[in-house]
Amino acid sequence: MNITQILKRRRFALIIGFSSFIVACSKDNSDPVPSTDLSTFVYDMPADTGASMGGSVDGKTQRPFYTITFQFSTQNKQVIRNKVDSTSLLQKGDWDIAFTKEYNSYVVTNNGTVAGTPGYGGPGKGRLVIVEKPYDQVIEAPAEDVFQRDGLAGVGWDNGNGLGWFFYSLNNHICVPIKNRTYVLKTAEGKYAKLELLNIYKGNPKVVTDLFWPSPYITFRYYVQADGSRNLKSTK
Amino acid sequence: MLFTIKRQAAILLLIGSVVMTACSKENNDTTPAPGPTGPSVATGVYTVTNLVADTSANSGGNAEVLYYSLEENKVIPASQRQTGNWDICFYGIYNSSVYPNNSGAVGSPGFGGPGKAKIYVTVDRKFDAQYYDTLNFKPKTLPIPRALWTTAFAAVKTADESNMQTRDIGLDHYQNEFDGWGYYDFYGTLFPGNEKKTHVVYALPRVMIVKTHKGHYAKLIIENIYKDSPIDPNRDNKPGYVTFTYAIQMDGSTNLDIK
Repeated sequence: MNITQILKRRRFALIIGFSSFIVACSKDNSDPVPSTDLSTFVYDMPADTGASMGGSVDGKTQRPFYTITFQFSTQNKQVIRNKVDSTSLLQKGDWDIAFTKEYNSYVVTNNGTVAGTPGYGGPGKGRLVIVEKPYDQVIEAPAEDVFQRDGLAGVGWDNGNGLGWFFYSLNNHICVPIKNRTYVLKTAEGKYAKLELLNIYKGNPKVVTDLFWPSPYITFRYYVQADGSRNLKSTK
Repeated sequence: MLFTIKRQAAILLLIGSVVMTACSKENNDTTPAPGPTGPSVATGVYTVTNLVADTSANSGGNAEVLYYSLEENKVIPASQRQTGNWDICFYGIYNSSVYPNNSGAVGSPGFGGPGKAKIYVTVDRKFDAQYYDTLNFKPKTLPIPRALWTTAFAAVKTADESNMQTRDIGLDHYQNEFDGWGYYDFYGTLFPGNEKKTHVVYALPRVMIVKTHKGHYAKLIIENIYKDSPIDPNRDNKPGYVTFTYAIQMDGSTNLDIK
């Protein structure tokens, strides 16, 4: 299933009105991201928009969220609805990250050795390291010993310990992505990539004040180093 | 994004917390005087019952951080958060994150302070299998037999310095891959159709090993976070009342075979 929400750089200009997240880049209005950015930008990818945590949301069903898998190289998305899907689709190397659990907010790499994650038992070699730097400043993947020491299966809610990609306050029930935090990861086949998780709300709004704002529609940017090296410089 | 529907229910949710960010920022530029330290306890086993993390809280969301000295077996006031007077704190929603008092514990009240405490949680999958699905990380038997707490606690006989860390021990595999001390049944999937069993935290018979700020080793097990330790808690039970047992070794050794 292809994702129509993936916008090429030219089309991206069209959505800049919504995408105030990239304020700095949008000032000249002609080129919302640096023209040399080789990253792939996925805008508003619908995750499991049919699930809710309770029963009284219009058009939603109270049930656990389906897992959504995503492959970087093809932008291919799969929805894991049931056991048959799990059995036939998950233990494979053709996806790199999965959006799982509450509001598809726990983003997990494809790793065959981590029990409790979607790729368990499969061939995936994924792993993830949090780097406290803006995406553009991450130009090299950390060394292997850093992956060994600080590697995570995935990132979700940051309860304060620094090990997630968003804050969630009980005061307002809004998911707030953490800025200037980048996720360097290994793809299913072990290549280095960097990932920026930008939003879970439709339209990639800069600020959300309405807890019923349509979600989860995930906006993210990534770059895979195809040659297998640690080089993650994503601009020409 | 509302993780649940009714606000009342949402308030009971465990996820997220801004409480401590606020707390830790407030006092950055004041240097709290280290409070007087009292007498240390003797090597032995201590049980703390219905420790009220926050008397004003009717929800986990507003819970205050609770600071505890294992050395002295007492609560330490929040004003001393940047001192070495406490060893662990119960932080966050439902006080579910157990942080060591460590200067390097990112996001915790002790961050940047003088604290040297550390912590880890022991996990024995063979033991877990008695009550727990070790592949999907959730209890398979509820209520979990109380005897398992006694067994788990007694089974830990030594501390392993090489396992010590500064991160918190929190909810088991909740939005992360870490083993924790308690299971959070967000959807109530363990009890389908029973609305009162959603958003319930079940303590697990798991032992945490603490190295206190002063360098003594201790083992600690949380028995419950609800008032009067209900064996089969539901949403009517009042959270924020932590009941735990710990044993501390004061001779400086890693021997935790303490009775």
